[in-house]
Amino acid sequence: MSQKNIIKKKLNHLFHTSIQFIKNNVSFFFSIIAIHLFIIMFFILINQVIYTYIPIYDLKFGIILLRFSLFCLMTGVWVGYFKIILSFIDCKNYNLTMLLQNFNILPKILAIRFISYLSLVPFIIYLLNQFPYDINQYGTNIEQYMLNIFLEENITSLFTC
Amino acid sequence: MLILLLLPIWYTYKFWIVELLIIDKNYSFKNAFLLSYKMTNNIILFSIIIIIIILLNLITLLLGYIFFIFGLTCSYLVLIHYYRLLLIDVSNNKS
Repeated sequence: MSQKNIIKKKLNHLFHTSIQFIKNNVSFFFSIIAIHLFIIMFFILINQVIYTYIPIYDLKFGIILLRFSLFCLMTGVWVGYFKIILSFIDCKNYNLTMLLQNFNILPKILAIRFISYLSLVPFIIYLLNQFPYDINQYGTNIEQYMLNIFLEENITSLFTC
Repeated sequence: MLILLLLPIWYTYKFWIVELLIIDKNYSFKNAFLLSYKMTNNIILFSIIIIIIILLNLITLLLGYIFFIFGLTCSYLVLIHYYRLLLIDVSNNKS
């Protein structure tokens, strides 16, 4: 069998069985969507409050600690959410408290994230070399720095040495 | 610059499963990385799934917030199910 046919067969199987999971437990699936909606709205609200009342991009130890804590909270909740999806696939029961019960594996997850960020280091060094980071302008707002590079700088200069 | 982007892209392709292995089975670092490397041989299939998921999410994004969350949940479901299928494949190959 050619590789194209194998891939097609595997894709069909994957999507067909995924739809079967949903059909077999519709109420659980809608619960997962509701939980997802709740998580995203919760973090949007937290972000809104924090961005309004706290200078979140200041280069201060307390602010950086707050951001790190929020990142840990978000990651821990997502771990719980993925556990719920795994329960759905295994046709097991779930509990809303699962969202907050899996913070014990958070150090491992954070270490893996750290390693994934390490793989970006050569790229970041190149960017900093091409477009120096102004700490007074950006503080710790790395997103704004990246956005400015892609919006304001000549994008073609990124691809030429 | 494109060459510098190869490392994170390669890392993502080879180790996207590591976090799921730890969440699901609570494997150690070493085992999770080794198993992830073994499980991610079929890069073409993974790329096709990612493209389909991105297209699905773009379409649902245009339909509004609720539909977007619906699409995103389906995407997670498909990806985690794909991870489980890969895990079954690796277990079958071992035995």
